[in-house]
Amino acid sequence: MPDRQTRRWIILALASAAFIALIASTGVWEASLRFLFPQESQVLHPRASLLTLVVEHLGLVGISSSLTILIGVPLGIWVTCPGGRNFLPIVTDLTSFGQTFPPVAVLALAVPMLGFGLVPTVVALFLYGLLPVVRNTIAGLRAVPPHLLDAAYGMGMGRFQALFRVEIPLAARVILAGIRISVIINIGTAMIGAAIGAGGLGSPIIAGLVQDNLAYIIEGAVPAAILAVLADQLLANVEGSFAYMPEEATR
Amino acid sequence: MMVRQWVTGNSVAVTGSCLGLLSLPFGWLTLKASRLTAGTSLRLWDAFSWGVAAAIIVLWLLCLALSLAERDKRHAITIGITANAILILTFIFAGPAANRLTATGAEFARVSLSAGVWVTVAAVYMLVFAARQSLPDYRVWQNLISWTGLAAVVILLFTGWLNNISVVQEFLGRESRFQQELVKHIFLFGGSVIAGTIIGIPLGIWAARNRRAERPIFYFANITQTIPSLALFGLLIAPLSALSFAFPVLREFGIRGVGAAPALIALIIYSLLPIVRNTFVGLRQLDPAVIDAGLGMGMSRPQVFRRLEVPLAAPLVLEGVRTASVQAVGLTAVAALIGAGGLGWFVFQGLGQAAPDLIILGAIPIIVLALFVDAVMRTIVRVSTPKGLATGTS
Repeated sequence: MPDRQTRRWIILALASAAFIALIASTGVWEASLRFLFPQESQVLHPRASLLTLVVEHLGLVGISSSLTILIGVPLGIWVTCPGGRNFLPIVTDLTSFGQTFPPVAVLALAVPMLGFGLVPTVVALFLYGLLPVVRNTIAGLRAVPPHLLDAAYGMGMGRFQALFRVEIPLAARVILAGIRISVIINIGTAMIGAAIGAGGLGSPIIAGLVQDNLAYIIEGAVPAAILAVLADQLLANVEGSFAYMPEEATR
Repeated sequence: MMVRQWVTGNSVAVTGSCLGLLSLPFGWLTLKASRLTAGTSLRLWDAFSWGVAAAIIVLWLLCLALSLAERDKRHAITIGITANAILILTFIFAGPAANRLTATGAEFARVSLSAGVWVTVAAVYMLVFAARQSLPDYRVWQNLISWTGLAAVVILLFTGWLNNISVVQEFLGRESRFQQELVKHIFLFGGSVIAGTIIGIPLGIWAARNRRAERPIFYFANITQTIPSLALFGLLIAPLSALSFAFPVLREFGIRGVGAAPALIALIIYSLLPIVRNTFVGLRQLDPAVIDAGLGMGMSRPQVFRRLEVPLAAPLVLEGVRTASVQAVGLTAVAALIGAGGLGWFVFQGLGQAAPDLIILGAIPIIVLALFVDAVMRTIVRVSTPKGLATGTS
């Protein structure tokens, strides 16, 4: 019998395979949506196939979340280092203040500044996604017990060695939890990005709402819901693989 | 607390001052022939007069010099005052500049604030924050520095000084609609949070008391929280419209596929998780010794619940309500897409018409409402925290 963690990975792999098979089989969708909504003349959003929409959505979230991680984690590390310590209060203040902002409002404000389309959506998703990543990076690093750091320095580690071999591994789980929150928020906000022309799974829903076509709405909503749950599970599994969890950071 | 490195001055304030100087080459105002056309952007010296531009530049340089040299509280206070002065100057001169430009421009000409002003606002925020940090023991100065500029801008807005700025024009053209949607927004998010609280607290208590209930409750709450809001709204539309077709009576109660009904249901579902989780944690974290002590003093089980568990868990529960409320303000904005109305209506109308001012007219009040709700709920949490716990939570 494989252990709990391996079992989770196997279940996730099977579920993802089933999901891919489901979104790739256009015939099944068409038949079942026709059965559910006999009154609609067209049941599949004509702009793009479901698979394309899912790929678009993942691309949108992938680009913005990668940017978020590439910039957010180093930023969080920097403000906890002696060099950036002066900026710690303002960054902490900004991340808690910024999280009060509704993601829709951030997305909406990107339009007057950057216009319609992919770019404003990616920028808004990236900026909003930064908040949980930076906050958790700071929380994770600060929760590393000082005596462990002393021990690391005592063993003759330099600052970088201590950072990469002690602090980051110990904070990894909390940082990953922040990334998970950020990605899930991004998946949800990217749906609304369809309203500003970014494509993705939101576009059949918006088209369905505008044209009063229930089948389009379901075509977008069901895969989006499954996608979000799968992504959440994936990140939960990654998080679970890093066993050490400093107690102060569990909340 | 951290130790400041006074040798190099105040690095946050230095960054803020540099950001402020960086705002100068940007466009400060944008002149558009109508609300939908692209505009020409005006530099600081074209938008305002040369004198004003020079004054702003001098003030920024003063800030930079002061922050490089910052040694004591007088420097910090001067930085704070200068930053506020820059903010106030910008908005005081933006009003007449807009009046002049709209009067000389085309009939439907509009003037909007652009990047330079927003960068200035961000820079002022950094300076104010830095100044506050340097004055930990001067509450009066802290508050003066934090709120004077903001209060001045709000006063300018309400006295009509900024009436020719495009967003304000947009608002003046739709004042009654705005009030109507604002009220609708408050009802939608307030109603759903209240309903979520009424359902969530008993669920949390149940989960805390019963280990078998714990898993399914959290499983459901976690999964629904993960689902994108637009998808959940979408998933609720189909069953509700089927229901209203099957039982036309329901339509009289406003239950249709689109509109307020699916919005309310989804918003209630979303507000459950924070409330259930915090109720659960609030009850579970209690020291069993406290309850034993209560029982030992001769309290009955209901008395222990009412006089010990409720007051001790209350701050955490309210903290959950706060999270749920702030989240609900934003999600209600999305609900405008499914015809539920609220401030999101302006956002999505604006997106549909490609009218930036209309988008901003929706987005900024949504943010302000979220900040306001957050502040109110934080105060409630603080007030409700029993004295003995005051340092432990919040």
